[in-house]
This record gives sequence, structure tokens and C-alpha cells, in this order.
Amino acid sequence: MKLLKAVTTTSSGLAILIVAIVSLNIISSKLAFRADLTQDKVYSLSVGTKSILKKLDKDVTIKLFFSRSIKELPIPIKTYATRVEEVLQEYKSLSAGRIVVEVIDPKPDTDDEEWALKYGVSGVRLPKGDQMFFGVVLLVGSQEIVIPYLDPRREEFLEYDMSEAIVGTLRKDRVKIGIMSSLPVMGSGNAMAGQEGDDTWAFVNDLKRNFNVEKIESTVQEIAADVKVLVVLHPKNFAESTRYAIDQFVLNGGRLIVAVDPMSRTDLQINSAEMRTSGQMPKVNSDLGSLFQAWDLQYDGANMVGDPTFATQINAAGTQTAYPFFMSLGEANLSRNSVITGNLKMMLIAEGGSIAHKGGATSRFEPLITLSKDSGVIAGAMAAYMMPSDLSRDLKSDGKEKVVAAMITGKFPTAFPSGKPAMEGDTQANPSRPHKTTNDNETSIVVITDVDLFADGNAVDKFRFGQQIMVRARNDNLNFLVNAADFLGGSEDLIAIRSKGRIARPFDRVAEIQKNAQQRWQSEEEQLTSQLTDLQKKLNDMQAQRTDGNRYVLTAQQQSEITRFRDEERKVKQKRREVRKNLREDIEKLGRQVVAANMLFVPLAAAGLGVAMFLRRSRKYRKDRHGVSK
Amino acid sequence: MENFFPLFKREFLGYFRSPVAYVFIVIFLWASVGCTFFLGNLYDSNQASLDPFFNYLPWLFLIFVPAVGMRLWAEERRSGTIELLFTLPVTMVEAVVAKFLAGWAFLGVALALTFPLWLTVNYLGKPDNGVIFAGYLGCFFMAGAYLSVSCFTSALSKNQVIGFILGVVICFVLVLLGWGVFTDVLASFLPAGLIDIISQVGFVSHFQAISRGLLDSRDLIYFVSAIVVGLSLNTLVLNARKAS
Repeated sequence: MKLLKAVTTTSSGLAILIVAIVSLNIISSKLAFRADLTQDKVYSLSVGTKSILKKLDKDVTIKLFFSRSIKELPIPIKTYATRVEEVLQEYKSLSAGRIVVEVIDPKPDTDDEEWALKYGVSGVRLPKGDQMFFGVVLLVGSQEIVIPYLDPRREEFLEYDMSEAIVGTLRKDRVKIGIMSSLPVMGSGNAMAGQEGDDTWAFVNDLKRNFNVEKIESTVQEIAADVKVLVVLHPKNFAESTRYAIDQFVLNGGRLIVAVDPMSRTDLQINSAEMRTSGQMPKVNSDLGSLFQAWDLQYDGANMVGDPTFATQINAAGTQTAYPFFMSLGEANLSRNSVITGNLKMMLIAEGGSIAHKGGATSRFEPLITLSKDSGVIAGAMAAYMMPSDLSRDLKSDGKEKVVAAMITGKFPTAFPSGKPAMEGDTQANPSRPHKTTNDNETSIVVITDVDLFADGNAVDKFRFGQQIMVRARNDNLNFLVNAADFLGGSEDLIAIRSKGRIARPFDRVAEIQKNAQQRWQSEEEQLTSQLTDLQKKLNDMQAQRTDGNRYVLTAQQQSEITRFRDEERKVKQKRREVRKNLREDIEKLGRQVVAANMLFVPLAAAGLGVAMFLRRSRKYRKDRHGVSK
Repeated sequence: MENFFPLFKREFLGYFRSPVAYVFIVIFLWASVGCTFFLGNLYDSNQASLDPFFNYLPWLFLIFVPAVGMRLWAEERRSGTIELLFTLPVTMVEAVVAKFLAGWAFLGVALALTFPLWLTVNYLGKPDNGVIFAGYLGCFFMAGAYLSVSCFTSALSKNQVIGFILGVVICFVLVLLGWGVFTDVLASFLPAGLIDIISQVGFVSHFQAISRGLLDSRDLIYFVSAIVVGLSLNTLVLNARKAS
């Protein structure tokens, strides 16, 4: 009876407690507070978004389509959807009533599902056949912007994607961007953006989200006045009249982003067929020549820059090697003062060049990407023929910091003082705008001396998701371009949000060991290689010394000399192999040390403390017993 | 309340008086370092982050926490000191909470002793220490939730081993609940709304949310609730035993 009473009283107490706890959890799910402990405040809305929301002067309806009622939804997607809902609520609360958020669960065969499809939210087929919708539609008046699928892998960019969409709905006319390139960046146009078969470069699709992108032929005579920003990528073999068009575009107040390259690997790959048939090296470098001079820039178009400090591991002929011309640059290299690079974290420069400011110029030169004093140069033309390991070996530091990208601001003279160059087949006799000799107001030009960094292979990873191709940035390469376009095109709020993600944090220490090992290996390897060359030369000399009469007969001395040399050659080769192995050895050694330190120090200290405690206690125990027996 | 702290102190220091505690700490440290480096490949991943460590902790805790908790009540009952304990001027709730807090503090010490891992990633690169801090906090709370379950199972039997095994089983179920493969199986016969609730009951989804660096009141309240439920059951069982 007593037991029963105790059980019933405590049970009823427990029941009340459980009810209280469940309701507490339910209430707390509505009133959540969050602390964002990440260094980059990945989970908090940034100043840029707040500023965009403050400026909001139209009502925006945000519809989140999410098939929450599907049973077999993967948990990470469910969790992410909850997070998206919260972020949207936060947008709503900061919008002073301008934003309305609707969460819709488009069940099969309902109007909601039809609407989702009508808006272009893409249904993803799950393994058991259910169609899952997880996308967002923003409506402002008659305008609509759709994010067809919210990829959980883009969680870090959720805020940027949302704010970008809001900015997109507000812009009365989107800024027009012209793209001019000697590479097929615009794709063949055979497939829709983001669908299978779309071969448009990712940076073009990135720009399309925010701008009206227009292809401009590289034979153009004049650039339309409504183009606000012009992107010139790899201006190879541009005619004088095209250069004149660019010159006048800048002097009329147009904003320019130009990417040139002393050796474009992408171009080389495209033209490799030509190289094979003609046996000649195609021209794969680009330059704007007189235009750069007019803009106070000195561009070293002949040389490719490399920096062993930032060498990236590449796979060359089956072996991993740190290649100093593929540079993984971090915050130290990317100017913190510029809005273009201020919040970028990692860029990969793939065999680029360098620029400098012409002495005595009045314009302002703002370096955006800088290399360390360990950097050096090598002739760009060599890269097509030589192996990466040989190129790395030939790279010598010249002790100068080099600028890979910069922004130049000022008033510039025309590169064509005598007016439009007369060209054959010039059909446009009267340009719509008069010739200008300088710009009325200051203008800015962003120059980057690498083209390959914008190629998909260097900038993004692609995943297939149903019919969709998901593109995820591998580094900040495309952000550099989009930031530059945003900045020059006039929307600075988005820049404050961009690139607030968790990007790789590689071990600096390992990279440094790699660099040192490479340097040491290089000098030893060079020494051994030259020893080998010497030996081989001596062998050849000895064989040449034989006269015709004794061609097939070697003296015993010659024989033994040759054997000795061969022996030595074998030893040197073996030693070189060992040196090459040592390159990796240092890194593996550090790995072993780190594991050993973790395995030993604290566990041993704890064990030692335990033993000490045990000894002390047993001594005390013996003493006590002794005391008692006495 | 005045007897609460002496009781807590006695229990907490009690761990360090027994050689088992040191063996426990050494094995826990080896297991966590081993999982981090050999299963999680921390060094080869070339990323300054403790994710490989935090990913394995829910599974390590599955064994280690019930091992810490199994002694708490079973031992008192086996040796009969429980009677003595209740003659002291402490309430049942105070005793339960004091023992739990002592165990939790001991687990905190064990967790804190993994600090060389933190030093390692800071030596090798520049990790986001905010995220690491959140990860440790999440681990500590999760350890508390596991421990409250173990306290409850320890009170069920005089035999420590039975307490341990029951603790492992219940914690295993709580880990499974948040695991996709398991909820997929449940989804074949339960409605979606219920699946949603069930997956919210599991430990892992809450722990992962915190260890990403986002400290959410809901996840903290969840862990605190789990601890309170575990300890309440513990009190209930002890009261029932005492009454009988």
C-alpha cells in the first residue's frame, strides 16, 4: 500500500513534470533566441541585408514552397528548411511590415503544387517516388524572382541568395553588363541555365542573376551607351577599332573590368587541336597594349608569375606536386581595404601575370591582389612546353612583391589622339558619339592579369541533382568578379553580405613545410641532376674518344671507367628518388608527431597522477594499519 | 541545502580516489584521439577544424558515460550505504542532483583534458574557435543528458553491469532517433508529423545544431529537459525502492 502510494504520488508528480517540459519545449520552439558563435557570424543577418531592408519601398511577398508532409524527407533537409523559415522571419521582422512570408506545403494534386510548378520551383524526385519542392518565390507587383531549389550545401550563402533576390526585385532596370571575350564564355546556348548540357561559364550565370548580361562581339565598333559595366576577358587579337571602342567606352564614363593573361591554359586547351595539326604554338596570351599605357598601367604580358609560398598541390603526370604558378591566396594577399576583396577569403590564381603603376602618374592605383616577396617570374611561352616540375624548378624569386589585380581610378587620356583609326571594311562611318580625348569625371577600371581563374574548372564544383546541375563556389574567384561588377555597377549593399561563408581553412603549418621541403628538394635535386648530366657527358666523351679502328674494342681501363660511371649514375639516381620521397616525409613526420603528442602527454600525465594517488593511499593505508596494530 | 555541497564534493572527489577514474580518463582520451585521427582523418583532411572529433563523440559517449554513471546508485545499494545516505539531512532530490552534478563535472574534466586536440588545430592552422567552443559546449550538454539516463538506470539495479547495459541501450535508442536511416524505417508505418516529433527527441540533431556554432535556446532547453526527465525518473525509482 505504501509502495503504491509512493508510486502514485511520485508518478503524478512526474506526469506533471513531463507535461511541463513538453510544453516548455513547444513554447521555446516559438520563442527561440540564438547566439551565433562563429567567427564570421555565418548565421546572423549582416549590415548589408539590414541596409537593403531599410531601403525597401515596396511590398514584397516571399513564398516558401516546402513539401514538409513527405514522410521520407531526409532530416538534414528538414532541419535546413526550418532554418530557412527562421531566416525569412528575421527578414520580415526587419522590413517594417514590407515583407510578408508565406510557407506553403505543396501536396500532390493540389492548387499549391500547380502554383509551385507555374512559378518554376523545381520538384525533386525522392527515391520512393515522392516529388519534393523546396524553393522560394519573391513577388513584387508583377515581378517575380524564383530560387528553384534551396540547396542545403549552399547554407552559408542563404542570406546572400535571399538578399540578392530582394535587390533583384527592387531594381527598376537591371544594370546592363556587356561581356566581350575571345573565349566561348557565353556557351553554345543549347540548354537552359542550370540544366544539363548548359556550357555557359559559371561566372556568366552568376552575373545574370543580378544584371542584364549582353554578349558583345569582339569585332564591335562602338559599345552601346546603355552598357554600364563592360567585362573584357582575354582580349586576344582585338582589332584597333575594337580597342578604340573600349577606349571611348571608358572615356564616356563606362566602367571596365578587364582580365588579361600572359598564358591562358584554358585557351591553350581549346586550341590544342590547332597546335597538334600545325605543330605551332597558338597565341594564348592577351594584352590591351596602348590602352594600358593610357591608363597608367605597366603590364608584364610576357611573364607568368609564381609564388612558392602559396603553391597549390596539383596532379602532374601522376604525382602530387606543389605548383607555385597555381597560387591559393588568402586574406593576406587580398586587399582588406577594398570593397571588392575586403571580405574574400580564398582565391586561386592559375598561371597569371602582374601589373604595376606607371611612375609619376596622377591616377590612383589600388592593388587588390598582391604576391609575397618570394614570388618570381618565368616566360609565359615556356609553360605550354614544360612540365610543372621543371617550371617550378626554374622559378627564381626576385625579391619583389607583385600585383596580380588592381583598380585604377582617375582621368585618362585617349589612346587614340588622332581619333578613330581608319580600318578596312569600316562600315560605321559616323559613330553615334563624338570622339572624346579624356573623361569628364573620374572613372575606375579593374584589371586582373589572369583569365583562367574564371574558368569553371578553377572556380566551381558541379553536382548533379535530378535534372539540375548545382554549382558551388570552390573559392572566391567568381565573387571577385561579381563584387567588382557590383561595385562598379553601383550596388554596395550586396558586397557587405557576399562571401560570408565557411570556406576551407587549410593547415598553414603543413603548407609551410611543403614549401620548405620543395625548396630544399629543389636545390638538392638540381645538384643531383647536374651531377647526372656530368656523368653522362663523361660517358659520351669516353665513347667518342674511341677511334674507328677500335670501335668495338674497349681497353680494360675504359671498361672499368664506364662501369664506375654507370655505378655512380645508379647511385645518384637512387639518391634523387630518396630526396623526392623526403619531400612528403616531413609532412608525414609532423602528422606522426601530432598524433603521438595527443596520444601521450595528457594520458600519461593522468596515468602518472593515478599511480601517485594510488601509492599515496596505499602508504597511508599501511601506516594506518601499522598504527592500529601497535 | 547545506549538505548539498559536501555531498557533491564527496562524490566528485570520490572519482579521483579510485584508480578506475584514471583508467577511464586515459582510455577515453586514447579513444577520442584515435577516432579523431584514424577514423576521422583529421590530419589528412588538411582542415583546421575539430569536426572529426565532434562527429565521433556521440558514439564514444554511448559507452563512456554509462560507465561513469553506473556506479552512482548501484554501488550505494549493493553496499547498503544508501540507507546511511538517507539518514543524512539531505532530501532525495538533493542527493540525486548532487550525485548527477558530480558525475557531470567528472565528465567535464575528461572532456577538458582533450584540450591538446584544440591546441593541435590551432598550431596547424587557423580554426574557427567560436565553432570549437560551441562544439565543446554541445558535447558537455549531451554528456549531461546521457548521464541523467545512466543515473536512472543505475538506480534500477544493485548490479552495476545491468545498470551499464540498460544505460547503453536507452542512450543508443536516443542516438538512433535522430539518425536518418532509422527514421526512414519508422516512416514506413508512422505519419509524418509523428516522425518529426520522434526525430526531435534524438540527441544527435540537437548536438549537431550546436556544434555548427549556432547556440539555439531550443537545443539547450532540449538537453536541460532531457536531464530533468532522467533525474526525475531516478528520483521516482529511488522513492519507490525506499518506500518498499
